[in-house]
Order: sequence, then C-alpha cells, then structure tokens
Amino acid sequence: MSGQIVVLDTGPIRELITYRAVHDLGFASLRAQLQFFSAPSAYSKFTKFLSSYRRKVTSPSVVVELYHWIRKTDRTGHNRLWSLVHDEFKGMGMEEDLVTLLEMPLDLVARCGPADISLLILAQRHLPSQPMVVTIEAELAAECFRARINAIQIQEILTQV
Amino acid sequence: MSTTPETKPGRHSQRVAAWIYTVLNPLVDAIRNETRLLEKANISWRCHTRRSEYIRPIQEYIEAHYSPNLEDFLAENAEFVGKFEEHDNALRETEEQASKFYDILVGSSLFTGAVGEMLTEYESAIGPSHPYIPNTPSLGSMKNDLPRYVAENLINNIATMPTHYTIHAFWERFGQVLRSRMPEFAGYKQRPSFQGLHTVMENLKQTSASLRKGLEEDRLRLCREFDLPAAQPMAPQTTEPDAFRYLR
Repeated sequence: MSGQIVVLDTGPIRELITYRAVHDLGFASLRAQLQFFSAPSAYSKFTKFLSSYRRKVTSPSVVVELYHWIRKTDRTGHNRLWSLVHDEFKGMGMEEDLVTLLEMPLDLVARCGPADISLLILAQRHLPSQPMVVTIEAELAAECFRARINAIQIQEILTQV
Repeated sequence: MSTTPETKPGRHSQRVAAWIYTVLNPLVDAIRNETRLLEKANISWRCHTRRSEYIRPIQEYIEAHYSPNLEDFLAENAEFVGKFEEHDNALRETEEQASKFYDILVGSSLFTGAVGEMLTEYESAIGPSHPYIPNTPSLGSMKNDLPRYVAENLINNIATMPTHYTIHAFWERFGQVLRSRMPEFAGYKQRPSFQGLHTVMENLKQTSASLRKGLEEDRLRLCREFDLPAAQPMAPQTTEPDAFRYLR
C-alpha cells in the first residue's frame, strides 16, 4: 500500500545512481557494483514503487555515505557521478532533513551507525504520514520494525508481484 | 624545447602504456558516452551550472595527477592538440548557445504563459476524480521553477523522464507538445538563436564522433606498434597508489 512519504537509505540511492551511471553514462566499471538492478525491469519496478509516494526524504548523513562511496570510484568520473546524484535528488524532489547526533539514542548509533539511525528518527518525525523506510540493510529494517515503522528492503520490492 | 622526438619509444614502452591507460582509455570511454548522448540531441545542459554536466572539456576527463601524461601524449601526437581544441571549442559554443536560448525561453511571456496554462490543466486533472496515475504529485510548489525546468528539458531534447521524477506525469502529458512548439517560443526575431543551438550542437556531435574515431584508431595503432594490451592487465593486490600500477 502506498503512503505519503518514503525515507531513502544510502543503498537504494546508490543503486539508482549506479544504474544510471552504467546505462546512461557508460560507466562500465561500475556494472559489477549493481546488486539489484541487473535488469532494466528491476530498475523500472523500483522507480514505479518510488513514484507511488508523493514525498521522498533522506538525511545529510546519507549524502556523506554517498560521498564515501563515490570517492572509492574512478576519480575521472567523480564530477559526473555527483551530477547524477544532483539530477536524481532534483528529479525526484528529494527533501533532506537534518537529524543531529544529540537526537539519536547512542546504543542504536553504536549498533547501526548514525546514517541509519537518522533515517529511523526521520521516519518517526513523519509518523502520521505513514512513512516507509527503504533500505538494503536487514539490520535497519529490523530496527524499524521494532520501532513500529514500516520498512522494506529493495529485494522485497523486486519480488513483489 | 624541441618538439621533435630524438628517441622513439621501444616495444612494450611504459611511456606509451601510460598514454593508453591514463589518457586514451578514459578519453575513449568519455567520448563514446558523449556521442551516445549527442545521438539523442541531449547535451545534458543544466540551468544551475549553465554547462553540460556529462560532456566536459578534454582535460576534465583525465585524472589531475595524470595531466603530465596528457601533455607528454600531446607532445608526441601533435595532431590531437587541434582535435582537442576543436572539441572544447565546439562544447563551449554549444554551452553558450544553450545559455542564450535558455534566457530567451524563460524571458518569453509566450513560453512562461504556455507552461502556466499546462500547469493549470495538470493541477486540475490530478485530483482523485481524474488522476493521470495514482498519487501523481502536485507541482504547485514548483510553479515558479517549472518554466526553468521545462526549458532545460527542451534544450536537452528529453523525451521521457524516469517514473519517480516529480514532473514525470507532467512531461508525459505535455513534453511532446512543448518540444514541437520550441521554434514558436523562441519568437520570430529570436528564431536564429534556436537554429543556432541546433547548428552548434550538430557541430559538437560531428566533432565528438570524429574525435572518437581518431582516438580509437590511435589506441589501436599504439597497441600494435608497441605490442601493448589495450586494457591494463590485472595487477596483483597492492597498496601502491594507482598511478604506479601500470609500471609493473
């Protein structure tokens, strides 16, 4: 069922960027990093899932994780990869909401890292709008379920009929 | 300094290998991508940077610390100096012409009025009674930015937008109409600027295609002449910086 807000973790965004880098920009060396969108149908299914949400939200911590990923790729492509990130954020109207460390339960930060927990807290902020957290991390999904927040992993979206 | 080489590199030359792996290979990949985009008349021009995001000057395709290899390659392969300049000039002209055309579009009341009318029609159609697709987002909050966004997409000849993009449904409904009305939006007096954009874009396409051919041929020539593989052989795991790997 579609809600109002989807909260995006680093993994799904990285997968979207990687898919476009490989298919639109010919970044063949990144093909091996595609974990879920090996076929165009998987990309279409996921973007259709995203389009059923009016608002897309993430946190600046996720952008930092994207930075760490991009800096490990071939340096000549960094500018173009950041342009892709910019295009994706602009295109899907991504909102970035800050969650400070002081707002985060430290035991959860120690277990899952600040980026994951920032998304959990973002989802809690938007509870009346039935947020859905999208991730590739089973651990984050489990924390969301414990906090009674809807969460789904990409692999589940792709196997849905 | 003499530009004439006094000694010719030998077979399996590390110097030539450096040209292939740090200059020619990144350029071949990048220019192939350019030609793919330009085949679709997409110059990836962005209004926030006023440049082509995925088509760059030659120097930007080469890692900064490999610039000496680029200079060395050009010193021995002088025919590419002109070809690279031609490419960068064609790109600059295209970006300038795109900026000019963009300013004409967003300054045209005919254009902004048409986009406004389409937005009104779109907003009235996305209610629960006549949805284009379920959960289609309202574009009301981007009312002021929409003409800029539309102009950028027109310049890049965008036919379809990904389904998760906010203006996907709007573009599905109005994109084709807007594209067909581009010359009209430019206005009678400004029509040369619309034609000018197409002229410089076509020039960039030809230049890019010719450069791609030249680079591919030169790489093949160097591989044959110096008996080198076109791709760097897989090196064993090392902690050395990438810059030294090809010297193994």
